Amino acid sequence: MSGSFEEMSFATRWLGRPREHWAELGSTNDRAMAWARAGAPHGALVTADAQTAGRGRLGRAWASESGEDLYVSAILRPAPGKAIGALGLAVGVGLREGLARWLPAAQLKWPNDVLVDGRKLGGILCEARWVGTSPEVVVGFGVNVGRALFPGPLAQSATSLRRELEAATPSREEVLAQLLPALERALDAFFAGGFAAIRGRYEPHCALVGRAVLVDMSNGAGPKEQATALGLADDGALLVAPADGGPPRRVESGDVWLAP
Amino acid sequence: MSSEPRDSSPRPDSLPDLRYVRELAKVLRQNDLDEIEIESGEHRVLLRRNTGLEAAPVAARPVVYEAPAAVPAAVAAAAAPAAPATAPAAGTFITSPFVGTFYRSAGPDTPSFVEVGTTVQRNQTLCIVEAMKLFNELEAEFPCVIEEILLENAKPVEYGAKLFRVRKL
Repeated sequence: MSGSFEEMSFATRWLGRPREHWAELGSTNDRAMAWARAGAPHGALVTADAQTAGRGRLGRAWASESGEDLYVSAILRPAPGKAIGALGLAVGVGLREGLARWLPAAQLKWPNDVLVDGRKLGGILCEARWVGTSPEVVVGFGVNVGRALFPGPLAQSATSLRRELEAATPSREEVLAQLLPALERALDAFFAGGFAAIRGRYEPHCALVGRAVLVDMSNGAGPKEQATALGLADDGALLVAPADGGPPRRVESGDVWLAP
Repeated sequence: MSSEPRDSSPRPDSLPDLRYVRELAKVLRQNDLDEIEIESGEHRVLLRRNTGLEAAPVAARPVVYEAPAAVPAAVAAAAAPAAPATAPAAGTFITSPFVGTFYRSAGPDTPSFVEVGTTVQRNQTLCIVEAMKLFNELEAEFPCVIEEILLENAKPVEYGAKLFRVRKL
């Protein structure tokens, strides 16, 4: 690996150019959205050493103060009419495949967390802005690379490459150099053939399939429901069999947890 | 995601969207299920596959709609406040380009993007539709006033569903 993190280049066809690197950002996704509005092209990339206001689903904070991890957002401009609903799953496929060199047992928790032994290694946040029928899309992800400290509840729920690999931990540069080409391959396959084209690259690594899960079908308004995850549909929805014996159902949004 | 006219051509509110039923039929077929029953708001849809006719096209399989009257009373009562009692008034509608869950704000503790009466500028965010952790922000294509919000927060939304009735400025 030659050059600094800020100036490294990538073995990609379109992803990662042009690139902006920031010492600190509130959120790489917010910066990427603003850059997209100002005309940034398909494939443009934002990275940061630190994120002060990283967000997860519905604004949940994602702890990110170490400066040793990856905070990355890419701008995508899919063709109008493309079904992009499972985009976050496609990003998960790319990240998992890029990380497999170091962590072959990494798994995906539907829809798009990257887990190692049940602990979160990385998160994905995809946002699209629609004016009429053409979306501007930002896919953001964070991967814990060099982080060694996991305060409070994170000790049980989070991990990093360093925590998993210790002395064999790769640098941020090495990780990003693996992730971007893998992500580009997954996105190319997804844009060409939809989630159906990459379902076989997701499902075998899904941490939920075959397991007892709790499903929030009402966005916090009702109790979590017990079910067994059956697999994924061709559009990326999670198929679950309710524990009460009812017919299988599709989960398209809402949260899913492994049952304790 | 094809361009849909944003007008108000009425459709019978007593029947679920056909695209939705088609999607369900796809799930039935792709996952080799014999039956799917879905209850959502005032609709209950039961799809049953005639397993003796594997090669028949989807449309030939029996698709059973159950009338809202068949919904248990408690469910119907709970769903009732969201549904307007009369056919929606004519006007300009902003529809969803996406299937997912409708959110009126960016998070549980943040104010709604718009309320009835809000004057909205072009490119102002109206709502978020989320599915599989893809958060879709819908922006206004033209300046307008929000006259009616047609869906409650955190409710499922179909492709093309009317979200807001607005008056163009």
